[in-house]
This record gives sequence, structure tokens and C-alpha cells, in this order.
Amino acid sequence: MAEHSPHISVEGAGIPQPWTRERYYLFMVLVLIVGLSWITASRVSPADRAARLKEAPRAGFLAPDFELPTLDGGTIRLSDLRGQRVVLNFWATWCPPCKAEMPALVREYERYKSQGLVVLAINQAEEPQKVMAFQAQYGLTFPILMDYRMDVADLYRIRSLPTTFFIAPDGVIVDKVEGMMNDATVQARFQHLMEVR
Amino acid sequence: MLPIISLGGLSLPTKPLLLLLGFYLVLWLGSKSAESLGLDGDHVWNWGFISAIGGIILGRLAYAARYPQAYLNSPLSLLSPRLGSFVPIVALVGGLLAGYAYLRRQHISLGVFVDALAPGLTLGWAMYALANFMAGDVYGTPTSLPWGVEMWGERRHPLQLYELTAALITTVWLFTHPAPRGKGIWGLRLLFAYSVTHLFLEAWRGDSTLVFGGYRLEQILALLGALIALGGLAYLAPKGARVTQ
Repeated sequence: MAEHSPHISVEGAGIPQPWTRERYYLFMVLVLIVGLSWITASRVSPADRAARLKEAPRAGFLAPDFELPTLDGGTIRLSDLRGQRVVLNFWATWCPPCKAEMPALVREYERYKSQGLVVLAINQAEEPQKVMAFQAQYGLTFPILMDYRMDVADLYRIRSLPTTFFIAPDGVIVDKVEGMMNDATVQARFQHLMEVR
Repeated sequence: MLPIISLGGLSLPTKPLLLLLGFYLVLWLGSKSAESLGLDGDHVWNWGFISAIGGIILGRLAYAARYPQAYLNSPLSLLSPRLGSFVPIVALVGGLLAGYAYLRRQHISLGVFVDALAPGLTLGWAMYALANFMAGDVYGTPTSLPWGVEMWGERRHPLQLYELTAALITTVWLFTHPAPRGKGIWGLRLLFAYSVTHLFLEAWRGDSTLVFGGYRLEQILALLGALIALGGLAYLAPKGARVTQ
């Protein structure tokens, strides 16, 4: 027996391997015990996590609250819609991908609005007349909010149009899509939102 | 956090760029390493592309299977490049299976291949952690420690940087504790280091997937990964104590 740590040769290889099979088995047992203990010690209560949720414009966080005027003269505050599923769509009339996805957004809104779904189309700092013309041309049936100073766009860190947020009844963002959604994506994301409890 | 890089008038998303660069580096280093083991480096490039294509196709099909009506109404949407419309775990497993099928078809030893890939994979791991830091993904829990970073409205553990450090330490460990190459030992050691890192660090992750009333799914998978790696190393280790002096 060697005086210090023994080295065991692996057949066909020049580099000695210091651990035997038995030593690995012992180490496996140790890793299993320590691992299970660590997993148990670091578990987190889902209720605690939900209670500590902060507002941030990304999936898994509370949707930042805001209030904006609507195109038809009213106002809408996001937090007043708590308990309903909400889709926020940031858009502009000059944005071709925004135009392309609008028919699918209208279709899905019409499909689910009777189940309490709300779509809020947040226009980016355009003239009301221009937005009204667009609304008529594309047959938009959901509320249009006017983000005249783009404060809400800043709050939601909008980097490109369109950008769409899907918000669950508890106010938590479940999904964020940057860029245009094709027909299947729109249908799938709306269906997913409706399945969230 | 730097989710977007602006180059002139062009805005580029940082995370996909870093991930693509990491994937390229893994394959490039892997091909060089494979040649040193007597394996044609082209096999590594082929494996990479077949795995990627297999992962993309299966990940998208799994997503479409969850929302069949949406894709039946619009079948061309299956070809959309949108990364969010995938089932990531199916894409990962599908990619691995496609890559394994390629290795089997080419009669390439799995042990030789994973050992060839292991050094590059540590770099890919580091790039993945850096990409997450830039995008603010896989973020840490809130902390008041001085090295915390502002992320998503709170001061948080820079979990991605912890992982980046672990990847670099693993690289040093792999090279300073040499093992025979070509049997899979390097690959298993890397799997062990990666799994133990996640088992440990996941406790400070702010967006873990919770299962069974609060257990972190990634920790359970990491423990399984560590045990599989150790089981493999045990299988490859000599039985009993044959001492060389």
C-alpha cells in the first residue's frame, strides 16, 4: 500500500485515475444525501413567492399599473381589470407588422370576450383622427388607448412594435411577445392565456 | 443588463447573438479537439447541425401539438422563425436524440465524442450564463449584499455571474485534473460539475419552476444529472484497489 493517496491505472491509458468504483459509489450516496437535504432546505412556498411579486414588464412579474385615455374619450386603469384576462398590444398605424396581426387580434378578441377577455390596443403617440381612420379600416372592436407621451411604452420598456403582453387574472404577466405574431401564434397565445388559472 | 446592442442604426438582441457565438465556439473547439483524438472534425460540425435541426423540428411540432387547431388553420406557421413557439424540453431532448442517431449511424464512439466536445462545452456554458446576464433571464433572488445587481426592480443576486464563474472554475478543474480521453470521463466530469453547480446555485434563483408544493424542478433534475454522471464514472473506474507504484 502506498504511503500517500494511491493511484490506480486505467487499462490502456497513460494517466492514472485516483478513484476506484467503490469510492464513486460512496460519493454517490454522499451526494444523494447532501443533495436531498439542500433541495429540501431551499424549497420556497409558492404563496410566499406570489406575495412578494414586484411590478416589472416581463413574464412572471406583476404587470405595471397605468391609466390612459381611450380613443372615445374615457379612461382605463389596468388595475381596475384585475380578475380578468388582459392582452396589451403596443402598436402604431405606420407599423406594417402591427397592421398584419390586427385581424387575428380582432378575431381572438371576438372569440373570447364573452369569457371576460379584454384586449387593450395602446397606440403610440399618434393623432386621434389617424387612429380613428385605422380603427374603421381594420374594424377594431376592442378599446384603443392613447399613449400620447409614450409614458406607458417607457414603463413597459417597449423596444419594438408591435409588442404584446398577456396578463392573467391575478395581474401577473404570463407571456410577452416582441414582434409580429402570425395567425397560429396569436391563436395559441390567446388559448394559453385562457387556460391560465 | 444589455438586452439590445445598437450598431449604427441596427438594434441586435444580445442573447441570441451570444448563444449563436457560443454554439459556434463549442463546435469549432470540439472539431479541433476531435482531431486530436483521431476523429474527423467534420463529424462535430455535422453533429451540431443535425442536433440543431432535429431540436427545432421536434420542439416546434410539440408546440403545434399543444395547439393543434391553431396550426391546422395556418400550417405555414410551422415554418415561423419565432423562438417562443417551441417546447424547449422537447427541443433539447429531440436535438440530443437526433445527434445520437448521427453518431450511431457514423459508428462514432459516444465516449470519444463527448470527451472531444467537453472542453468546448465549458466555454458554451460560460457564454450561456453571460447571455442570460445580458438579457436579465435566469435572475437571482433579492439581496442586500454589496455585490447585488439592480435587475427587474430590485437588487438581486447576480446568479448568472455566479454560474459564469462556476463554468470558468470547471474549465480550470478539467484541465488541471487530467483524465484519460476517449472513454467519456471528461464528458461525465463536465456533467457532474454542471449538475452540482445548478443543484447548489438554484437556491438563489428568482424564477425557478416550482413542483410538489415548492420544490425547485431544476434542482431535482440537477441531482439526477449528478448521480448519472457519478454512476457513469463509477462504471468506467477500475474495480477494487489496483495500486500502481
